[in-house]
This record gives sequence, structure tokens and C-alpha cells, in this order.
Amino acid sequence: MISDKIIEKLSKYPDEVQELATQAIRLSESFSEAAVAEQLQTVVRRLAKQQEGDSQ
Amino acid sequence: MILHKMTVENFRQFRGKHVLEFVTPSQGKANVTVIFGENGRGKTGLFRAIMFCLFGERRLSQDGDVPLEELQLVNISALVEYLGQPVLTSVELEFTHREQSYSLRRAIRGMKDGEQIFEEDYEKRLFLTSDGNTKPVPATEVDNIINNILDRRVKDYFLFDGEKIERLTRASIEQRREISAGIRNLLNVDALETAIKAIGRVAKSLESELSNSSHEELSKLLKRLGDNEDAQGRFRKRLDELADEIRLARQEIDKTDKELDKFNEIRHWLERRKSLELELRDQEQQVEDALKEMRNIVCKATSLIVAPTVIKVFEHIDQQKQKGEIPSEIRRDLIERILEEQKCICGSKICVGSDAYSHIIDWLERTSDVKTQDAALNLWRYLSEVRNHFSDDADLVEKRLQQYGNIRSTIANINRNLENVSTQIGTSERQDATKLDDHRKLLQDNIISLEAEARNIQGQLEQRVQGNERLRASLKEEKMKVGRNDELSRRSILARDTQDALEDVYKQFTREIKDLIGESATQLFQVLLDKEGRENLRSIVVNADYSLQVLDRYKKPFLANISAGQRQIMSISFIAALAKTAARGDKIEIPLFMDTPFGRLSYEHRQNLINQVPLFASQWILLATDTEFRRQEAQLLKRSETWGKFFILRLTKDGNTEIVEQDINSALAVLRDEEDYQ
Repeated sequence: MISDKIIEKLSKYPDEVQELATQAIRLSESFSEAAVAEQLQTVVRRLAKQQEGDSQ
Repeated sequence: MILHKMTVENFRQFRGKHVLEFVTPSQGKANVTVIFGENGRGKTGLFRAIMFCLFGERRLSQDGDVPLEELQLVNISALVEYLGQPVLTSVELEFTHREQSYSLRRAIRGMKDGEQIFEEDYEKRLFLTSDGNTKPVPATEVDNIINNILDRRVKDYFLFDGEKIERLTRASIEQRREISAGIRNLLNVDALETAIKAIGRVAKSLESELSNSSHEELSKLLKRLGDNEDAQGRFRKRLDELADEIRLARQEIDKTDKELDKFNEIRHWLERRKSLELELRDQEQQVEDALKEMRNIVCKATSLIVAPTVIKVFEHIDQQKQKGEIPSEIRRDLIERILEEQKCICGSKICVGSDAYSHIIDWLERTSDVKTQDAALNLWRYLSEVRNHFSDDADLVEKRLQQYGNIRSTIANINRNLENVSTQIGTSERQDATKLDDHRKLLQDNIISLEAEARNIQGQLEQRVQGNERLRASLKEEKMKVGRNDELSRRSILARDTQDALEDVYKQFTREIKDLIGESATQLFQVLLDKEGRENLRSIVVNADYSLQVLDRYKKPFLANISAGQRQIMSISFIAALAKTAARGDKIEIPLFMDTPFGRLSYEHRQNLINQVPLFASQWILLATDTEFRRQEAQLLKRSETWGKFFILRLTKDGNTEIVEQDINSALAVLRDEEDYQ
């Protein structure tokens, strides 16, 4: 359960950073560091593609 | 976590089965359970039972280095009666946590064979009841579940020996590290820490891919960043090793002290040395704090070095300003136009070679160009502002230097006294005492050099961390340049940006939490302190490393000068504040289980604790002796209407202890007055 304070502090960052950070914390509540890193690779790829789409 | 019931069987002084049902917050206003017993009746045995059941721990902090085999948990008379046969000893704890009920049982088996007693683990069982369904928890998960309910690293904050709790204010570097890990867990920042590490791992693997595929500058930066991070890892590892070495050396010193304690003639000197060493550690902490502050003002201090030059330049421009040379009375471009047109502004002609022409040339030479004049004026304004700060900055620097000097001279005094005390101990006629003392000196010297190395490495680590920030910024720029349209670069930038964001949030969050704990602890401290303490002591500050400091009315660090009772009150205030912050509410969600907490406290302090603790703790379990829990204290507690249950630990004919519940209305008859002890 991510604290409201943390969500509030993240809100000043760009959308992709916010989303990746939130996912990272959520996953960290249930998985080990290595497992979280593994799952985050996919999220990073998706968000980078999304960024590319937005810029075109 | 709320404790409901504890059942002990053949545990320490308690022969057979004994049940304690604690008063719980759901039973109206009452939330205090008092377990009363004279010394030796088994109060600490019950404290031990709770620690054993929850964490499987047999040793309490007050046991020191008593060998584990001497800390028997199985009741001796049962072992004697069933000589050569196994005797089962168990503790069962029923509690609730976040609307789930738990029943935890831990048992060991003991046997007496001749003079020898053997004990072995027998059973660890946890049942969880949720929505009316009870199910057993696999044995491998029990410790993890209990640790999530009450982290073993902070257990001593909530289940504690009252007189020893003041040690919290004297925690060593290595204890503080452990405490800080526990606190971070209690505040649920563990997930944030894992997230930072995980995203850092992603960023690193993306950068490693990038360094294979991209151009030279990027590869160089990535290599430097990698080297820098490796160095940080090495420094952190060494810091952990040093903390371990320091801890072991301190343990060895404690052991040596115990040996030395056997020599009666030097006992007085040993006590004096201990108190001087504690004072020295407090002062050294203050020196470190003062140095940190001085590092923060070092930028201001450097400006003082150039103060004479600044003043000289300012005065020079100011003089020119006074003379009207800056800004010049007549603008240079106007003079140049007059010379070019050979015509004055009044219309008269100015011939080359005339006196007027020579005067104007003079003017031109004295007049600087507009840009130089503007720059000089800007400089004059800036220096005028800077000049005004010199006196404040000089005062600040002088004050800090003086403060630092005072602490250093106090340290020198303490060291002189320590040397004197060591000479007294070392010249003792007992040769073995002298040898032990020499050994102790070596250990102490070793600790000093280890701590110096730790400080040095900490400094280098901080530099590396700062260097890392700069490298990351350059790397980001380079990545943008290299691969504006490259997906791998974008992924890498996103991962690093997210790591930076999370680190930033983490720093802010923990800083705010620390301030919050400090404020909350201060509020409680003010309420719990007696009148004299309230007048002298102002606030509790939680330092960056979770060590504590107390400030006096002049906002100066005062920890070294407060009494043991005040330290105890300070520690309790901190514990309560910590738990309140973790609970994000007003009530502590963890029971406060205190063993003999009133021993060192004045009556006013006791009064304040009795009136206040039940208000901020959801459950208070008090193990008290006859000398600290008297009629006066009982009457106070009764008046507060928070007292729910009263148990007496009574000696049985066979030398064991039985637990007898007594109506609180008849408690006064059992207790004594203060006068009875005089």
C-alpha cells in the first residue's frame, strides 16, 4: 500500500516517471529486488515506446 | 498488535500451567494491566516468556554474556521431580493484529540428567483466525509473519526493561544502524528502498547494453559511473565491516570490565571510568554535529577570506562614484560625437589642437566605456550587499568555532580524567587487574582508530555520492545527444530518471518523518517531564542516523547533562512518537510492555507516566515491584480509570511462583505506602 505522501511527492514528475515509479513500489511490496527488476524491464520498454509514439 | 492472553507452562519460576489475561482496549476505557511482584518472583520471567514466544529468544539484553546453557527456561522443580524424564515447557500467546487473531505457541523440552540439564526446541506453531476460519501457518512462515507484525529489530522499543531503556539514548553506531533498519521497516519504507534498488538494476543493465553499442564519450561516462558506483559499494561494505569490528571490540571491553569488576579495590575507579567514557561518547557526538554544521557554513567562511579584497574594490569604485567618474558625468559616446563633429553641444566649433579639444581628449581618456561603467556599477551594488553579510557571517563562524573549541576542551578534560582513572586502575597491586586493564586500553585504542577510519570512509563515500550526481547529469546529456531517436537510450534515460525521482522522494519522505517523530516526541516529552525538566529542556531532535539529541532552552545540545530518569522519559517519548507515526494515528498500535519502569523516576515523573501513557498507548502492561508500585501510584492509576487488571506473583510453598488475579478495588490492601520503606 503506497503511502499517499509518496504518491503526492511523485506527482511533480513526468507521467512516465510517475507510472514507472509507482509500478516499482507496488511490485516491491510483494516481490524481491531481482524479480521486480525483471518485471520492470517490460514496463520500461512499453513506456519508452509510448514516449516515441507521443513525440511523433 | 493487541495481546489478549498468555499461558505459561513449567516456564522458569512457573510450575504447571498459569494464565494471564490482559485487559484489551475493546473493554472500555481501561487498557492497563499491572503485574505486581517482589524481586525474584518472576516478573522478568514473564518478560522472557513473551520474547521467547514471539521471537524464540532466550537471552534478554540484561543477561549480558551469561552463557546460554545457564539461561534455563524449564522449571527446575519439575525437572527434579521427573529426573531423567523429559519435561515440556511452553508459552502460548493469543493476540490480534489488524482484525486477525493469532495463537502462537512455542515449546521446548528439558531433561535433568544428574547435574546436567539439557534443553531442546520442541514446537513452534501459529494459528491464524480470519473471518471465523482458523488455519495453521506453515512452520517456515511463522517467523516471517511475526516479524511483519513486530519487527524484531525494534522489539526492544515496545517490550522493554524500564531501567535499561535509557540506553536508547546512548546507542552506538552499529546499534543505530540496526535501529534505523527496524524503524524504516516500521514506517513501511522498505518497499520504497527495494524499488530504488530494482530500478537502479534496470538502469545499469540498460547502460551496459548502451556502452557496447554507442560512441566513445558515452562509453567513457558509463565506465566512470560504473567505477564510481563500485567504489561506493566497497566503501559501504567496509563501513559494515568496521561497524562489526567496533561492536566486537565493545563486547570484549564489556567482558573485560566484568572481569575487572571482581577487584573490589578498583570498583569505584571502574564506575568512574564508565561514566567518563559515556560522557566522552556524548561529547564526541557533539563534535561530529558541530563539524557537520561547520561544513555547512564553509561556503560563507570562504567568502570571509576575500573580505579585505572585496572591501578594497568596493571602496575604490565607491570613491570613483563619489568623484563622479562612474558613471561619468558626460557619456563617452557623447564625447566621441563632439570630437568627431568638432562641435560642442552649445553649437560652438572645437578645433583640433585647441585647448577645448585637449580638455575633451582628457575627458575621453578618463571616461571608460558604457559597458565597463555598467559592470563597475553592478559590481559596486553586488559588493555592497556582500559586504553587509560579512559581519553576520564572521559572527556565525566565530560562534561555531568557539562552540567547537569548547567541546574539544571538554573532551581534552575528560581524556585527562580518563588517563588519571586508568593510572589508578593500572597501578593496582593486583597484577591480573593491570594486565586486564592493558588489554582494555588496546581495545579502546583500536575502537578509536576504527571509528576514525569509519569517519574517513564516510567522508569519501559522501564525495562519491556527490560525484555520482554530477556524472549522472552529464550522462543524461550525452544520452540525449547520442540517441534522441534511439529507443535504448530513451529506456535508459527513463530508468535513471525514475531512480533519481524515487531517491529524491525517499530523502524528502524520511526527512519529513524524522521531523515528525521529533515534534511528536517533544510534545510527549514536555508532558511527561517534571517541572524542573520542562524548564530546562526544550526539544528532542532525531538526527539523520536516528540517534537522539535533546536541546536545552538555549537550543544547545544537552544530552550529556541529563539524568538517567530524564533519559528514560526521553526514550519513552521517542518510542511513543515512533509508534504513533508508524500507526499514522494518535494511538500506538503496539502494546507497551514495560518491566520495572519506575525505579529511577521521581514521583512527578511516575505521576505523568501513569496519567499519560494510557492515553497514547492502546495497551500498557506494567511489570512492577513493590518498591515502585505503591499505594500512591495505585491510587493515581485507579483515579485515571484506565486500570483494568491486577495480577500478583506469589511465592508458593515449593519455592515456585503462582499468578493470582486480584480485584483492583482491593489492590490497595496488598500494596504499601512510601513510609513503609523508610
